[in-house]
Amino acid sequence: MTAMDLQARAKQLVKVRCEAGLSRAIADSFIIGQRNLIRLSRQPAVITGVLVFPIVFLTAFLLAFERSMSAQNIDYIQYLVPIITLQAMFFTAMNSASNLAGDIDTGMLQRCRAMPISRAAVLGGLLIAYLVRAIVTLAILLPVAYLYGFRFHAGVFSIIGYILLTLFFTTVAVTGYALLALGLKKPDLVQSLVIVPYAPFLLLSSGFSPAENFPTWLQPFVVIQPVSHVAAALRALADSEPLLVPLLWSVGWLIVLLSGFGFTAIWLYRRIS
Amino acid sequence: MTLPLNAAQLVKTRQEGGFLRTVYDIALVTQRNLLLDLRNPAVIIGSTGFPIFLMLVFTASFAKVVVPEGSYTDYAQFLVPLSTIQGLLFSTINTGTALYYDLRSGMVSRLRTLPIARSAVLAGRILGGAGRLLVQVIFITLVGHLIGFRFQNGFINGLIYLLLPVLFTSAFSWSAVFLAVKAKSAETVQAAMAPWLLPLTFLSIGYVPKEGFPEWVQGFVSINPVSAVAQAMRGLSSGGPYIGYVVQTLLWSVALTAIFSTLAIRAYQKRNS
Amino acid sequence: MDVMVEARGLEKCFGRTRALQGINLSVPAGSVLGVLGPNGAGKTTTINCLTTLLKPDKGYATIAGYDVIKQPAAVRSLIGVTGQFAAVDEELTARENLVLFGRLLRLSSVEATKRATELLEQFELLEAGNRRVKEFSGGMRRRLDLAASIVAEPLVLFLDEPTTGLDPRSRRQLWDMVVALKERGITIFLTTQYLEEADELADRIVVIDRGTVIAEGTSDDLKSRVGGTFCKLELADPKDESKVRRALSGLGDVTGTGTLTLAAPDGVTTLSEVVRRVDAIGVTLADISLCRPSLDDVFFALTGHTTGETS
Ligand SMILES: Nc1ncnc2c1ncn2[C@@H]1O[C@H](COP(=O)(O)OP(=O)(O)O)[C@@H](O)[C@H]1O
Ligand SMILES: [Mg+2]
Repeated sequence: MTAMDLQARAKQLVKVRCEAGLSRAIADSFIIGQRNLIRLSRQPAVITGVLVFPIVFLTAFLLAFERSMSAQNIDYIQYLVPIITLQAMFFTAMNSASNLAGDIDTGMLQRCRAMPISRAAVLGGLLIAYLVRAIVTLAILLPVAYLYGFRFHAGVFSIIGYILLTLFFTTVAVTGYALLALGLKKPDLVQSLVIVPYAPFLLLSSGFSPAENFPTWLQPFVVIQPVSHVAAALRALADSEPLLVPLLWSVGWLIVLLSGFGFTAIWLYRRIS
Repeated sequence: MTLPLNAAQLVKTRQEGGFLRTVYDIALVTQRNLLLDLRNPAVIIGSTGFPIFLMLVFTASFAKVVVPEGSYTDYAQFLVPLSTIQGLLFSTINTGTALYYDLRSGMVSRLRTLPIARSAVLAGRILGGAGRLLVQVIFITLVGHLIGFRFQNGFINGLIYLLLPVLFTSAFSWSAVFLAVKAKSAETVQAAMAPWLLPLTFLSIGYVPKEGFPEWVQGFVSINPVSAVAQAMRGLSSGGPYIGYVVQTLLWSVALTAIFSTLAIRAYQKRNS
Repeated sequence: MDVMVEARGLEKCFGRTRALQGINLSVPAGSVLGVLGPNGAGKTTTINCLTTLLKPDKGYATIAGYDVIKQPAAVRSLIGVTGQFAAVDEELTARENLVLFGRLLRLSSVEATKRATELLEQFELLEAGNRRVKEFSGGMRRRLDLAASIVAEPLVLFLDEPTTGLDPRSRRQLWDMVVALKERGITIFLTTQYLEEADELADRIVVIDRGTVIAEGTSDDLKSRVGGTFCKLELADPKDESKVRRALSGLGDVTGTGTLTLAAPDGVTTLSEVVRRVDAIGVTLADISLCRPSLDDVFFALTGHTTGETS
């Protein structure tokens, strides 16, 4: 090859393999998402995580607390299903963090970063795969909940709303956990710390038990934090109760969190080493 | 070439066997396992921190539900025993995964080629686990003290209170050891343990009294070994009948050890790696 | 444009570790550059800077004239990278891995599948193609890794210690594959800890230590600075030593006691001459061999310290 040929070939390659642009970002994300899904479908632990865990939790809580709750005039199945849904989404996101940390550990992430593919593709692909997993989880959890007596009182729209809000929540959770994986990098470290965001936000929420049941000094946190609002909005959707206030709070929180997490995650991704 | 010792002499001085040798070997392997735990405080903190957190959250969110007339302290006195046993049972997952990693890294193969007691690897794992469990019991009980849990039944009973769950959980951890020997990945251990642990701990006389459950579950609740341990610990700490529950716990421990140690040892001997 | 890769004054610090302290190098198009250095010398960091994974603190670098810092996206279109640790998906089969990368590099599904088969064949993985990578041996993994970085043919291929930890047979296989790639006109940037490997594959060698280039040239240049190949002989009976020294006089300086060494500038010719002369005086040898200087020897000659002292 002569020098001119080479220059021309380089120019041509640069043009053909250009990584910028939205359609590129979407196409690349889907390819990586597909790969993540293949991986997920081959991990036995994921199957228990998706199939068994949410249902075991739902059953255990229902059996243990339904009677006591009905003494407080709470129909516990209606009350409980939203937070069990969100908990399942938290588990989904926690698993996404482990997988991302695994990719960092094996060098897969570096390989992708050195390829002419969209900068958004790795995170986008992660999100796509875990949204699919979230949908599968919902498709199993909601029918079981129905068998236990859970009902959508406002028809099809409330079901769609419930699913969309849940998926939005999952998006935020996966992005947030991606941050954790990108920051900590070591899989075992990530594995032992995924519990840290989960514990306070999910458990110190009004999802399992109304805020009034908490000690007074804890109540402000319980009332204001995002998981409580999203759980309340999901309950309102299912029960066909006034929706506007909890929904606005939830969506507001989720948008704020998503933009914060998203920008930080992309920033970390660009400079990870 | 001349060897410093001849083969017969070496065999004589180094060969495994004999009661004292065996005890000594097990002690050494136990010591090694404890040392590893000590060097990984994150694991102990994680596996102790989470049950402590659960205990605090449940006290905060369900005290008013389960004992509507009582105070948070009353519920704590009721809940701490169950939280303790739950925390310990969950940390058997760590015992399993640690053994799994040893098997995979070749550490176990190395130990097996040494002239040490055949039982040292598994027994050392269980005993090392017991040491860690004791540390955890003490931690959880101390935090329980902060939220109002008190020993009201004398020093000796207090001591038995601390040892009983360690004994029971050690017996139970044979099942984790069995799974670890069988497992193909570390997550398998976790995925196989968790679905058992949740119903065992939730469907027990632990978070709520037996009368809190629907009638058809009450049968399971009363034969659940975790109920026996929790009731025994409750009796030992707060007064009330406990001899029967202690005996039940001991019988369960013996049965679990007999079944799962046989299975584990058999699977272990069949391994070809 | 005959320079494909060029780096000028690359510097990079990690906290207080100065990983690169001004790396200068250039690779002519179509040639193989071997970057030789011990652990921690800065080889991986250099590759990371050149492949847009890391932004250098100072200095600049270009690939085919495209600036690595200002036009990273363009640079990524031209390169293939095989990192230090085989970055392929354990849970996926070899074929699935290759198809994945093919599609990410804008081949259609059909093209990617075709290309995957081609590569599996070329890298002797066809039989194992449908097995999951976690069942692969180290050598197979490495080959797959290499295949994955050329799914879409790059202008420059970066290989970071491609044979570290491989058995001799796998190493030889991988070398053959690198040579084949070179013959196709791909410029190759290769790091290694083995002088032998650089000698085998590289047109030019750059030796780096503690983040700076300490020597540069062809393999022969380097060897002549280090002393090149030498011949080592061990006598069956040490008492013959003075006799042998006398017999070899004229061939070069004989050094050592018990085991004698002498420079063998003509390699095998020198060796057979030694054997002939020793035979002629009726002395038996316990062992005789041709030795090449190791990385340690090179380092000792260039820096006065051995590789172990670097980090
Ligand atoms: N991400 C990092 N953070 C901190 N130090 C690093 C990092 N990467 C490399 N180093 C340090 O930079 C030096 C050069 O490392 P590296 O380029 O990996 O060497 P090589 O690949 O030649 O073995 C080493 O001292 C290493 O410890
Ligand atoms: Mg390196």
